[in-house]
Amino acid sequence: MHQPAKRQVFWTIGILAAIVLLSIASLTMGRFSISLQEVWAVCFPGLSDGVEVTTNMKNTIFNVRMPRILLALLAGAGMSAAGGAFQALFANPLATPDTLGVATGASFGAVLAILFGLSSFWVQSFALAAGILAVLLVYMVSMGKAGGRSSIVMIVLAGMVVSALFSALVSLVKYTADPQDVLPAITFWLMGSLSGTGWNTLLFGAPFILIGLAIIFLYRWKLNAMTLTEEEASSLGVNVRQVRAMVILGSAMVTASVVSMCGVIGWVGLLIPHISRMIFGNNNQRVIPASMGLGAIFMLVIDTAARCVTASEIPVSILTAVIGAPFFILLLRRTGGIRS
Amino acid sequence: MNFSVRGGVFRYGRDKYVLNGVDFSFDGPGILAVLGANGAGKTTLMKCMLGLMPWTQGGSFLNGKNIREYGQKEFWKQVGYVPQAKQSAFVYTVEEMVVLGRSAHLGAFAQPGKKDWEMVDKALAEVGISHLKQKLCSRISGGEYQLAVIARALVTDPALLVLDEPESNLDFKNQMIVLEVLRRLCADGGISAIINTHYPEHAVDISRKSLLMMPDGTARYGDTAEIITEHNLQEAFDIPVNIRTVSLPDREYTCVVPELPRK
Repeated sequence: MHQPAKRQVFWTIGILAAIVLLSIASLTMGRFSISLQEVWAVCFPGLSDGVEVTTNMKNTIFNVRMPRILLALLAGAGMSAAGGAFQALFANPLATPDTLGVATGASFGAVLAILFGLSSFWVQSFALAAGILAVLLVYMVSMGKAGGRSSIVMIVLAGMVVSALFSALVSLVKYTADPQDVLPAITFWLMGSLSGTGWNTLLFGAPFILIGLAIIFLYRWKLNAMTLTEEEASSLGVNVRQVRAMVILGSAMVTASVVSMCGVIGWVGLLIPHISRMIFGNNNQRVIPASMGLGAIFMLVIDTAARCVTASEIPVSILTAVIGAPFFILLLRRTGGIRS
Repeated sequence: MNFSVRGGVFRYGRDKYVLNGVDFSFDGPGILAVLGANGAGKTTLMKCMLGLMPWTQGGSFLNGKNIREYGQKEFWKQVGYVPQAKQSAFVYTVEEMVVLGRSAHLGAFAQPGKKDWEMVDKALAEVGISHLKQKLCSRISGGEYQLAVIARALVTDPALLVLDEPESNLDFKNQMIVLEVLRRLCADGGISAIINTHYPEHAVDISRKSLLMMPDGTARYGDTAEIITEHNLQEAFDIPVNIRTVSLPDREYTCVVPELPRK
């Protein structure tokens, strides 16, 4: 925080500008090509003349691309911030938003709803509920007998167990699913996709992401103390249990909601926080906001590629790894990794 | 400032006593040294004393009030704890590390502000490492890191500092630097310190009071000169020791020399 404010202002404005410009660019791209003038004309009908606007254009921009772009921004920001928060909370650079089994739990809820042939609203609801249920289960298991105290090791172990359990349940559902039509739907869903996002999906899921993000953002400085040992953090006057519970809750809300809307998106939650640390150092006051901004940009680019590069959609999880891994390696070589 | 422990007992399970009747009442300012053999319960005492581990019986009192009756923040505003220096998984710069000491003064969602950074600068100057504030904690020496952790305890503006073996793992010169900083803080800052140490010489050198942990889980408390004697040390460490005073050009220094262990 205490570094030249100029640099921070520069980065903040740069990232926000990139988000706006890339979003506009993304609006013009896709199977149905729309020019920049046409996008302008659709958005501000009074301020443009001579450009013909069709209903098809309006529909594509307002009902297809806009919600999808917003979801990409939210999902990227959410998964990256949740990943960064978990890495600090567990003092472990390898933690991801799924460390406590939230994403696996949410997957189970979703595939169960797909198995029952329920509508997309119920797929989303089941996923959200199962994701939150998974984290509550982790908390209960980790409480153990030790007088209601749960150490980080216990929480992470409980998370692994719950994650393994839900992962087995997902396999069970896949095993029983009809291989003709239900199984492909489940498999495709598990690889993650933002297609078919409508305003309804977004209006239902976004509040969870926004509230979760707000919680993580507010606790960003306290996360620095959480990377110390538990005793050390309490001796600084930090209410370790409160911070831990709130950050876990916030991250779980974000992760469950993202997974409920667009399936499992791997890598982002691990990759982006580390990229942020390589650029800005380990102080979470900077890592968390930077992860949100860079994560939003990353997901927007990935998703735009997912729907534009080939004639049919490419699952985002494949792209996050294929595009993310080389980029990560490049950055690792350039900066020499995170500061240690 | 008064810090006392009354009837402190700590045991694992039913009958594995680590501490069995620790009593002392320490009035500041000045330094209280805690000595004892490995396994005598020095670190356990530190943790119980500060409420980081629960006493089985008895309690600790800050200014006459049981520490369990203080709110977490209220207590840690008055007491600064310096644990044995350990690096965390994510490395911060010295100033980022030191400002964490302001947590007790800031609300749950607050970020450190101008006043907090001024306190950081002041604390760094007090321990003499202002020039390192932008450096990463992993790129400074062990002695410098120990001073940074002391600075982190100082930014809370405590009445009492509690240090767990602050000079262990340091070389001669750095040991003297750390002890000198402590002596100075307690002399002009008007604060008190309780330090855990493996070196009886350091206790004699800087402390006014001493607490000697005995193998049976009790402890002897009193003026350092009365506690650090050949007789007491032999009982506590189970080895004969000789105490000799060496005249140095600028001061007298007390050496504690153990004999070879008897078979």
